[in-house]
Amino acid sequence: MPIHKVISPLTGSIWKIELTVGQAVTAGQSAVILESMKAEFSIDAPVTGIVQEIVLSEGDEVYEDDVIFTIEADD
Amino acid sequence: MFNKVLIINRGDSASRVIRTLNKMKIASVVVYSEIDADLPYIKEATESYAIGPSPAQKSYLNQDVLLDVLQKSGADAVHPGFGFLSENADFAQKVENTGAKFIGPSPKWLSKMANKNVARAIMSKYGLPIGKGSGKLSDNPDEIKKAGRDIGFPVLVKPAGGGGGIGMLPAYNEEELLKVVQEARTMAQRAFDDGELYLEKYFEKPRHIEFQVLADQHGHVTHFFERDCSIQRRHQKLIEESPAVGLDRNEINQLADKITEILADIGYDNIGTVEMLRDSQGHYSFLEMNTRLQVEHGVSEEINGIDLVEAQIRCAAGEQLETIVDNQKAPNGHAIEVRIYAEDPKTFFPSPGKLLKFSAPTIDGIRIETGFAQGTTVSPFYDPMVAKVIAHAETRQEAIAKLLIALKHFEIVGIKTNIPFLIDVLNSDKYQLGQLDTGFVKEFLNTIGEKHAHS
Repeated sequence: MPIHKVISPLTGSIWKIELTVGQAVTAGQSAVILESMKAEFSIDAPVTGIVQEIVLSEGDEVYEDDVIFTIEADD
Repeated sequence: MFNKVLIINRGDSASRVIRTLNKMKIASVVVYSEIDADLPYIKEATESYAIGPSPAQKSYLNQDVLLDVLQKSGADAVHPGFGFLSENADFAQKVENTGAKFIGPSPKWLSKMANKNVARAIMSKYGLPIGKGSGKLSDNPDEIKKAGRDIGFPVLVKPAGGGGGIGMLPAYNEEELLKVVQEARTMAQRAFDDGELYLEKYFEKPRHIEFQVLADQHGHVTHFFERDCSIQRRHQKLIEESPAVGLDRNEINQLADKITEILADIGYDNIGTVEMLRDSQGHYSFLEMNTRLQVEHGVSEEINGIDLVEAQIRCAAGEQLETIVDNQKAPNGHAIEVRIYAEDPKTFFPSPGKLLKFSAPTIDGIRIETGFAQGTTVSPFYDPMVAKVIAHAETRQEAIAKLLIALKHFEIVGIKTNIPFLIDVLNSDKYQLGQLDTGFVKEFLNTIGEKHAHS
């Protein structure tokens, strides 16, 4: 089953992670909230599956294209 | 007059205040966080102090550290700039408790106007036009529905202690209202540590018209006409101008005079902006009062020929208004400001980074305010503004033309900016014809077929 890497679209910091490893998620479900330049940006799960790994933690700095978490998709 | 002023702000805001302090021969003290150590404003000041880590909570919003710098530097006044602690009544009180002067409205007014229900009650009592509102909203679902019915749908749910559009949500019927109130309460609690909400009539596409005021400590108040700040995206202002295009001058001057009278009656002091909405039928409604110098003060300075920072400092030092301001009562020409943000011009995602190349044009009638220089970094820790460009000309058309030339001559490498978007807006027929309302940007984006990439 394919592993989806979810990458950050921007440079900022991780404000909130709403997932845990092993959790089942549905495509479109809110997953991570980033903060950059006084604004919040929500990242949704791109596919339905199981959270395999969470690479970054709340409060971490994040750069554009960094992997934040991975999902093993149900295909 | 003060001997030394501590500026508790960064970037263009600090540079702006230093410029006036230099002119007035007053020493300046600035503070900087780790990431800001190379910014130009630090060298422009007489003295500077490092105040710790980059996140604003640990530096520019850290009251204890700032009060410590106040004591160490021996400054006899504090200028808050715009943003950060500029409207914080507790901090202003703490500054005044040390014997130093907070250059802004007194803590009493910072505190009263910060609660929008209190501000609305004051303005409505003194007869300023104001749309129907609920006052402090109850927790009881039946009472919430009744409050919505009394005003008439659609209504706008707003946090009483809020700002920046956070937790502001429209509702078109009773069911939606209950849902939206819950959402807004959570957001308001998280962002402002205050879940108090109220409802007001929702205007779909009003114009945002605000009035610049100045007051001394002796009961005198004057105004510097209006600014139209209708060009906004997600409640963030993009383009501001003065005077507002196509409005009846008599009517707007009467409103400005009315505001001035009210503020004199209540004993308001120092500086402020009274924000109003104007609906498509021409009715005005009080929105809120900002108790500070604003980012967009420059357009009012241009058409009134005044230095508002100097005026504000002299008022705070106890001078009489009549010694500070000439009684000029007609705007001189037209001024427009655009804000250059570090963001992708299509997706609007933030684009912080190092300015590998940064050069701004020098053009007659164009004023540029920036806190950055080539080689410095626009960091993700603070707001995305890279520069403000203010054009002043005899007519609106000439001001637009000047702005377009200036924007095309910026050279910025290393970050993405909204300059292409600003150029498109200034070039549009709708903008040039002065057909402005707060729905402008959304409609503009729809017509050019760009989708918002995020919520």
